[in-house]
Amino acid sequence: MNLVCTVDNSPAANDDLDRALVRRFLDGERTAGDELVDRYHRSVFNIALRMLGNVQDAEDVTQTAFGNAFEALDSYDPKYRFFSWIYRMTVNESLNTLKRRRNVVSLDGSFDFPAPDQVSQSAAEAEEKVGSALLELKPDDRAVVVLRHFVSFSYEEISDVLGVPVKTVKSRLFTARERLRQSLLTAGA
Amino acid sequence: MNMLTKYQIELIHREIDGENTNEESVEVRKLVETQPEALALMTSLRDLDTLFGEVPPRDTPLRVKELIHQELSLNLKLRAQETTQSITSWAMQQWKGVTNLMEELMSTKRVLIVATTAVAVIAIIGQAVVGYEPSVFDAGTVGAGNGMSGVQQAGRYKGHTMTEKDITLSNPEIGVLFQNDQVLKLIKSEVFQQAMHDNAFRELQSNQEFLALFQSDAFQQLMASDAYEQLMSSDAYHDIMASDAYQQLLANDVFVHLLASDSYQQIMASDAYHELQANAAYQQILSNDAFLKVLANDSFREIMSSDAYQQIMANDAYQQLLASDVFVQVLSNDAFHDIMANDAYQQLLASDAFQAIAQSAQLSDLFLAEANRVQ
Repeated sequence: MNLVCTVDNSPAANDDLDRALVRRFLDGERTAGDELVDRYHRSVFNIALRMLGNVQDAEDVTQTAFGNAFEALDSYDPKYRFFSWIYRMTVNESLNTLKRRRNVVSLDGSFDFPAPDQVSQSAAEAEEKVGSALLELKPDDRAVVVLRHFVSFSYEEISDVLGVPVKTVKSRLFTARERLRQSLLTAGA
Repeated sequence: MNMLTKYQIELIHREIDGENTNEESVEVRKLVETQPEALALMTSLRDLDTLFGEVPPRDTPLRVKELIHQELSLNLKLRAQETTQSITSWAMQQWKGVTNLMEELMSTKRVLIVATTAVAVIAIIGQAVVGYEPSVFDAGTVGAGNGMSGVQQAGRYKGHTMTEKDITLSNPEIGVLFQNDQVLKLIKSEVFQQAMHDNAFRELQSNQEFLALFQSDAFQQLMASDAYEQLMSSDAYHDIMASDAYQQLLANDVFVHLLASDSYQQIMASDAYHELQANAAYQQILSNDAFLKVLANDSFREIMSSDAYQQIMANDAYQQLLASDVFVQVLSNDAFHDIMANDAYQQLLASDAFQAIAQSAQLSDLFLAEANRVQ
């Protein structure tokens, strides 16, 4: 007899898994917390990286976002999606970092994450172009673009993460893309 | 010139984002087929989307993942102890209050700072108060009200060189010491006799910084506090004090010098700090349950936020003591810790005669021998 094992990767199943992991961690199961970290660290790091354009800052934000999330896990409301919660912390921490950075020295527009060796030249070029163009956007607009294009979030999900109406999400996204179109495409990209 | 309406522009953006209904998608297709501006916008938005798609996702650096998992472990342990307040936040706040140097650093490298802060806090309080049990102040032990009053403050040997001839039972000052059963029992104990043969320990008895700290109002106030008494009687505190990891950490020159440094920011940038991070004892203590329990101890928190503790931290004598090689050596001596836990030690230390004797190995030997003669 053949046994067919199917894995449910639907969003609802993922949400249920996240909630179960949170519950198990709060019950004292360390591996549940590890699994939550493993599920989201890459997205969190990439959101921070695209928001900040700096590897060191992105590392700090990633660490801080997880630290804050686990510290406040008791207050997590399971009716919300866990990833919305952790991504919101990531975006907020990134925005805070940008504010602090602005108070020290303005690095907006400077792009500081050289591509790893294994990345192709064309990919590295795309990363540099997009990275520099993103840093020219206002941070709030940048957050919308990053969540849409790097995490593939819907308008509704972006609205949840940023805590703004869908209408605002669309407005920011369309405005930001218009600017990106001009800077990236009309420049001969 | 853009002939598209705001609605049509939004429709095209939504199509790119996959947000349109089937009917709206049909509308977009018709629009693109009939209006060149719509086709141009659609094409450029697709190109933009393609360009974003070419950007490779980055892997989270391994060390960042490790730090997050470490912090997770710490978080879980703290939860297990049912702390109602975040200990990490608390520790950082306390340390900030003490040094006012952490604000900028708190925003980055959270785990390292939390860990370092927590260890520094426990080590400082440990060094400041280790073993000086408050029970000596309890009425009825020796004298009343003031634990120091049990031993006569001779004053005779201050600034005066004690000789071998002075070490006799008939000497009034020594007689006072030996007439006190608790003090005599301490002196005759094997552990004290052993410790007195340790030059570092012996020298500490006449170390002016040590005595200055010991006799300071802040220190006495701290030791007399209820919070201190409760902390000293807690199992967690005794466990951490007795742990090998803590002893090793206190014996680590680098760690002690870090604590004695003028500026915590300087420490963070120092090679010594990085060396400490790799120290096995340091890492071990961070995962020590007793250590975490002490941090969660209400009495410990009360002490840390007390004015007395703040004064001790700012005390020059304390700073000098921490930087003293003698003190560092003594802290690594097991016998020292046993003795410090003895009430009678404070009474002995209050004696000028004893301080004078402790300055010489030869006089100390005579003193111990004389004590052993007393029945």
